[in-house]
Parts: sequence; structure tokens; C-alpha cells
Amino acid sequence: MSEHHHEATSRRDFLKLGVSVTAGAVVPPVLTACGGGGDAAPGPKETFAEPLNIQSVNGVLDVTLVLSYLTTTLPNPTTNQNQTVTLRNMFGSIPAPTLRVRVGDLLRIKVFNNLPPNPPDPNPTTHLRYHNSTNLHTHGLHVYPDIYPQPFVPPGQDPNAGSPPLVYGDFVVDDPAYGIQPGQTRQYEYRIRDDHPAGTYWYHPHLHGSSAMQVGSGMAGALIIEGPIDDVPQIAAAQERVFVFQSPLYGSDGRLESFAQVASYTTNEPPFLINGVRQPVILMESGSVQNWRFVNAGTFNMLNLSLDRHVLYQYSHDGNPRRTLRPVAPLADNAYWSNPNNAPVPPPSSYPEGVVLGVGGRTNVLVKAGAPGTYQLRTFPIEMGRNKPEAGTVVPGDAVATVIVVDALSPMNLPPEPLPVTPFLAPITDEELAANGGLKRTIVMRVIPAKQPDPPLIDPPPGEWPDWIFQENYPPGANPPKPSQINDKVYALGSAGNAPSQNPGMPTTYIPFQSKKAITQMVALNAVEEWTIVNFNNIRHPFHIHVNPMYVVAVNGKRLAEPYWADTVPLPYNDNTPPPGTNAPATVTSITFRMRFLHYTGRYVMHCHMLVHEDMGMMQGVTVV
Amino acid sequence: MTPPDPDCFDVRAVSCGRDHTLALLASGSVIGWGGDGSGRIPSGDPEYCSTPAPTRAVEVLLREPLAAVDAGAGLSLGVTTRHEVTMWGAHGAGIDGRAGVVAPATPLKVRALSGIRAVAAGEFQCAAIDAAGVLQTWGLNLDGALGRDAPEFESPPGRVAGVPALRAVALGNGYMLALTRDRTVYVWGANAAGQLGLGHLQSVPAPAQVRMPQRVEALAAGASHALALTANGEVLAWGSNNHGQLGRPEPAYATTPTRVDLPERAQAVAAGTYFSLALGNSGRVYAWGWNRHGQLGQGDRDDRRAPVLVQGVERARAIAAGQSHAAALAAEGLYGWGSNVAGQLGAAAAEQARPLRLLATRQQEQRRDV
Repeated sequence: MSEHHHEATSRRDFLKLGVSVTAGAVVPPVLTACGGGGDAAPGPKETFAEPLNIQSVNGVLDVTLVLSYLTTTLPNPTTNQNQTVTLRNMFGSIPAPTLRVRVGDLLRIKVFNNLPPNPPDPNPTTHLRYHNSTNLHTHGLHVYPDIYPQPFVPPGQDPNAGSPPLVYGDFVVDDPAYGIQPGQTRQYEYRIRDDHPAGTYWYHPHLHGSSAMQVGSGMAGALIIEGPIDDVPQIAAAQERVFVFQSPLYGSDGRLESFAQVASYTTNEPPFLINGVRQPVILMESGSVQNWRFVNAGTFNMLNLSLDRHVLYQYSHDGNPRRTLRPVAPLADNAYWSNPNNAPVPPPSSYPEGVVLGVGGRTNVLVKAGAPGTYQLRTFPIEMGRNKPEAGTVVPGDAVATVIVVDALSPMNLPPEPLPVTPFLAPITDEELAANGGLKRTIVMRVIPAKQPDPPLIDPPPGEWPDWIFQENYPPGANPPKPSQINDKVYALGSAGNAPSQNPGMPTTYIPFQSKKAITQMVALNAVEEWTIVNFNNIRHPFHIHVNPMYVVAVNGKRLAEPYWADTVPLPYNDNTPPPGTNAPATVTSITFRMRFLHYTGRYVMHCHMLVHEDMGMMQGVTVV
Repeated sequence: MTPPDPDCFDVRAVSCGRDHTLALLASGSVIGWGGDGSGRIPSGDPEYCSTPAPTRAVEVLLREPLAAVDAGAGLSLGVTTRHEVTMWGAHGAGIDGRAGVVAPATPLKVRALSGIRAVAAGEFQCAAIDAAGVLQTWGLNLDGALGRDAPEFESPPGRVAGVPALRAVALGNGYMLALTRDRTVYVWGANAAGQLGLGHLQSVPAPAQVRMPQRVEALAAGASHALALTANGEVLAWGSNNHGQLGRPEPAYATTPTRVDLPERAQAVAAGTYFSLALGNSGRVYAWGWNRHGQLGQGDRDDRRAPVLVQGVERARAIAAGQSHAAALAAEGLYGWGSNVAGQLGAAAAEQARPLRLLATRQQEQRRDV
């Protein structure tokens, strides 16, 4: 977390920070009434720190954000010491500033990549060589996804003479060798529709092959879209806090310089920081209501949040507001959760769930402070898979923040229901689905071992497979020598590709399943479709699709009593052991959602938000025409 | 290996997959255009964001000649002259009857199938009919797509009960249409647009008979709409109608068969994503529905909510529809039109809004099959 947010807000200072504001305002953090921000105040001291908050003015937020290396200190949860780190950084702080706009606003972000040139990298997996190239994704936003069309150039006129530089929507379909290369600048422009869901979003780099390293370095920030929900008096009166949960990854030298480093983590990812602070202290007045925005900006682990002896009233899924408050009761502690390593793993049905966020997920909750006292905001253990003895599958429990409730005499109220929800999120009925094509699609998420069983299910030709699977023995003498669980596996999303070749011959590889070659789903503008995402694996791949939100209607084929809107959904895991020699599960798991393809044509993607999986190919294109 | 010379082929059948095209020659060999399932290896160069380069046809490296072929989504199924089933292409779920095999290097025999007379390939479902008219299905059983009591994923083929002996089966997105030997129609699977023709929108996990006004000679399954050719040459349509694929402006969908108004009696039907084709007795081809990629062959991209004549294809004897491309086997050649983004129409621009000749065909003389 930057310590600069109390400083003067001159343009020069923000350039130093890595951000400059052309239109918009930097808003100092709100100080709590009980003096949490004041060093001189008596009593408990608040250590919760908000990211820098930059908000639109007169309907426009126009910022320039600079990418560079940042040397700073971070609390190392493993050693409980502050550690000097030198990480690729987005805009001068970990996390990046909170960008705040309102529905109907124009958001412009210019990204200047001031990282050094990509060093020569002999990694045989070529698309992993571009650690210093980048791009930007506004996760969850319903905005134009492609490169904006250029003005018409009359015949005979040089198209490059006087034409403005390209302006990008939420465009991430970059070649890894290109994207925003070191030294380059790209202008993004997002026009937030008036009926856009108001809620909590986030932004982060999304260049195929470098997304895990960059997000793992802490390159992520919250993106808030305010709207009618924020005008509800009880919500407007509640103090708001943004919680960017991150787990920056780095070695003992404080650096993150190889894909293998990121890929070596699964559930052993370090404990979460909140806005760059380990276990911050939050002060609340008894009876007061606060409005908390949670962002899981990690790279792998899920969150399973619960506040001791307090109900969390969830009112959004990702950026999408709910019509009603969903009260999530506090989870009870027990021996297993206190010491998961020394207790037998209970059956999944006994795993209690609080507010569950897969990586990439967000939610808003209201919390009304109870009796004075000290409480922990915890993430409870959550099982992310089964039958993977070589990898931990339970994310251990952790206290992520301390909430100190002090006495006060100003009780506040929760908002009345129903809460305002944009018509954009009207439920998708059978009738609407039928009247707009009623198309069903199936998407398969599957990790396919490339070297086993014997003979392997896929038989990559020696000349090509280094480009498609991460190799255990590369680089020679690597430290750690067996860097990850992802070696020699194909990360597949989809069936087969639609890309032809000049070279005749039979398909001989798994390449059709890699993002590079995977099928691109072609969708008609204004279609309403129902997709089922099938998980062949025993891990909870978090499925994320850009641009249009999902109306989740079924899990494992069972219709939900209460469908909901989301943009990132961890799939159920499979707890069946594949029969010997098949490497395919006896059963599969799935989620089913409906989706309206409204307003925007263009190219975008869907993928596993375990970004290591995405970088290794678990991604597929969508083109709306 | 040089691509086949686009000359003098004796083409017996044509099939369009999601984004590939197959031509079955009299010799039993197959040539293909386009993406996976065409017989091509994908090139290693372009990134996932790049536009694939157009390509010429290639010959599928079959071990034995085929009697029938069906192009699916990324994969193809063939019936050998010995009535066995072969598959090629790629498939994330494993499709040759073994769960794990996802991308065979050479065409694979689908084990446990023999005496097969007809096959149909979808994306995650496949079907085969044997000499006795028994249907076997395999793949993902979402929305009851396999028509039998099976888990959500079942790789080995299994028999579909509750249907009379079958003549043909057609696969749409997650649903199947089956034509019996006595010319009745059974359906099952996804039904979100009413494409099962049963008067409702609910998925159906086992075969159900559709009430038809007449005997049915042929069926075509689009992505979410269906066509039937009746014994007297009429075309019936039901299911989604968001782009006029039922041949009429209204309603937005139909859960029971409706009649398509054609200028002549038809001899064949084909259906893609939101668009439809009919082959008239005269050998003329008619098209209607979605036209975003020129798949109606009209020289533009405007949808048509009633059948229009495809100009430039005469004396056709077979038609086929892919996701957004179409093909017709005519007197002078094999023609294709619509989307060519995967090279499914050969070395040409990414969109072909008018018929393009893929191959010259000569049935009587100078056979030079590959």
C-alpha cells in the first residue's frame, strides 16, 4: 500500500506515483468518526488503509497509468516481517488506485508501459517470454470489447496521415509478442452505459502468457461503478471500505521473474493482504453500518469470509446488485477449522460457507457492528479440489482483519428491500431465451496430462509440444527444480479449433484445445443463449467471461431456486478418481448460465481465472457479430 | 503432398460442419476444407487472436474408403464400406468411445460399433445407426441430449431405447431429431427454442414422437431450429425464429411445425445456425434466415424472413449447411458460400456472399478421383 495518499495531490506527485489525472479528482480517504485515522487519537488505532481513490468529475475520469518496477516494502505473511520487494507494478502502489465512476460516465485510461525491454528469454514456451509486455482488462464491465473503428479515410488519402491513434475498448485479444510493449502507450476508453450494473469491479493486465506474473506481482486495482444502489440512504450513510485481497508472490530476493515461480503456487499461496496490509485493524462504532466491497485479486486461492458473531449482508455478486440482502451468518469455529493440518478431511458437505469468492470474484456486503469488542474477519478453510495428493486442495483458514467495535450511541439501519437493480439485470425467462434464438452451447474445461497414462491420450509431436506445455525440466537447474504442478499438461477450454493451416495433414496435436487454436465462439448480436460450462477436473476452475454478465441458473444440472448474476464463478470440483488408464473422470460437474449478447459486437475471451491456467491456454475466444 | 487439383472430381456427398466442409468422392476418399475435422493440422504460427489464412482442400488420410461422412463441430465421423465408424478431428470430451482420447493423430476406429449405416456428429454428441435401425449415442448428456438414461458424460456408445427402427438422425446444439423407417419423427434433448416441436420449451431426456401432418422424408437440425421435408415435398420448420429461419417474420419461435412457403416442391433440406436451405425439385436452391456472413448467397448480409433463390447454382442434387456457411453439389461443381473465416470454402476471402465453386465435378467422364 502506498503511504502517499495523505500527500498533496499535485499532478507531479501522481506522475511520481505512476498515475496522472487529466479529468477526475483524487479523494482523500474518509476518516472514521472514532478517530481511526488520527495518530493523536486515544484508544485503538486503525491500520486499515484505503487505496488511492480517483473519481470522475462531471462525468469523466481520464487517467494515465504508468507501469514500471516498484521497490517498496510489503508485509511478508510467512516471516511476519516487512520485506523489500522489487516488482513489476501498476501505477505506483500495491494495490493500484481505486478508480471510481458513475453509471453514464466516460472512463479513459491511458497505459504507458515504462517497464524495461523484454530480456532475451530462452523459454521454449514462446508465449511466456514477454514478462514486460502488457495490456489492460476491466474485469466485469459491460463495455465495447474491441478496438474502436477508425474514421473513414477517403480514397487516395494516406490512411496514416493525420489519423488519430487507435482507441481501445476492453480489448485483450493481443498477440503475446505484441500487446503494449515496453515503451509503448495505449489509450483505452470505456463508455459506461446508464443502465450498467452499479457495483464493484476491478482492473488488471490480461496479456496471454504474462497475466499470472503481473497480477501475481500485485498489478490490480478496484474499479467502482456507482449508481442507484449507492443512493439508497442507508447505504449512502454507511462508511464504505474497499478491500482488495491480494497475495503478492515473490522469492526471498523480493522478485518475481519467472512463470515457474507463479506456477509453483496453488493453495500454498501466501496469506492474503488487504490493500497491501497484513491483518489490518478496522474500527467501527457499535450499531453503525459499514459498506464493504471485497475484491479477490489473488491468483489462485478462494476466500470464504466470515466476521465473528456478525451477519454479513451480501447485496451483490461480483458487480451485479441483488434485489434483496442475503444474510450470511457467522461461521462457528471448531477443531478442524482451527487446525486443519492435524484433522481428517471432513466430507465436502460439512464445509461451511460464508461469503465465498473465487479468484477474480467480488461482492458487496453490509455489516452492522454489534456489541463493543474485538472480532476477526476470517477466511475459513475451503476445499478447492479432491484427489490431488501432490497438491494441497484445502485453502487453510486465516484471520485477514481485526474489527474493533467501540461504544457509540448512533445506531444505523440496514436498507429496506427491494434494492434498486438495473433493468439490464432482469431475469432471463424461458420465453425470452426462446424468442432470441434459444441457442445452447457447451464449453469444456479440462486439464489433459500430456505424458500419461502410457500411451498418452495425446501425442504431441516433438517439434511443437515445447510451445504448448510447461516443461518440468526447464530451465535446467531451475530453482525450485520441479517448479509446479502444471508441468506437462495441456490446459484446455473447448472442443476443437476452427483455425486451418496451409499444411495438409491430420490433426496430430492437442493444439486445438489451447487458446491459440481453440474454437472461437461466434455469437449473433442480440442473441440470448444458455451455456453449460463442464468441468472435467477435480479442481474448482473459476470460469470468467468478459463483457456480458452470466445469469447462473443451474449447478450440476440442477436448477437453482434463486438464479443470480455474476461474471466469475468457481465451478464445482469433481471428487471422482478417473478410472485407471483413462484419465477422464467418471462424472463431470457443471454450471449453466443464460446470457444476453447486447449492445456490443467485437472480440473478447472467456477463461479460467487461475491465471496460470489461462496463460497455459485455458482460454477461448468469443466474437459477437 | 500437393493439394488435390480442383478438377474432375466425382463427388457423391457433401457435408458442412461448424467450420469445415467435406466432400465424399465416388472412390470413398474424402477431401476437406477449413478447421479441425477437415483433415488439416492446425498451423503453429498464428496466435489465438489472428485471422487464419485461407487454404486449399486437403485429402483426409483415411485407412479405408468411406460410404458416408458427417461433419460435426471440430470433428468428423465416417462410415467405412465395411460399416465401421471412423472419426477424425479433435474433441475436448473424448469422442471415439474412450473418454480420454481427444486428438488422435490419425483417423480412429470407434470401437464397439459395427454394422453401421448412418452417423451424425455434433460438438459433444455423436450418433450412429446400424443395419437393424438401432441408434447408439455417446458424449455429453446435458439436457438429455443422448436420449437415454446416462450420466452427464458417457463416452461409450449406448443404445437409445423407445424408438422404432431408424433411418436417419440429425444433431443440433444439444438435441437430436430421428427419422424412423416408417417416416415418423422422434426427438429429444435441448428444447429452449421449441426445436423439439412438442409444443413446449422443456428439455426431453428420452425419445418423444412429434405429431406431423404428413409422412416425413428427411430432417435437418439447425443450431436451435429444425426442418422436415414431407412426402409431398413441403418443408416444415419449428424452433427458433429470431432471424427468420422458419421462413416467416413471426412468431419469434414456434414449438410446433409450421409450413414454409416455397415456390416449388423440395427434395432436400439443410439447416445451420439461424438459417435454412431447401433444394427444389428443379435443382434450384432456396435460402432464408440469418445472413450475417452471406450464408444466404444473396450478395449481401441482410436477413431474409422468407425463402429466396440462391443465384448461380443450377441443377443441384445435394445441399449442406454449416454454422454459417452452406454448400451445394450441382451439375458443374461443388459450390459454397457464407463464412470462410476458417477456410471452409477454400482459398478465398473470409466472407463469400455469393456461391463460389470449390471443385469442378464431372460425373460421366474423366474421373480422376484422388
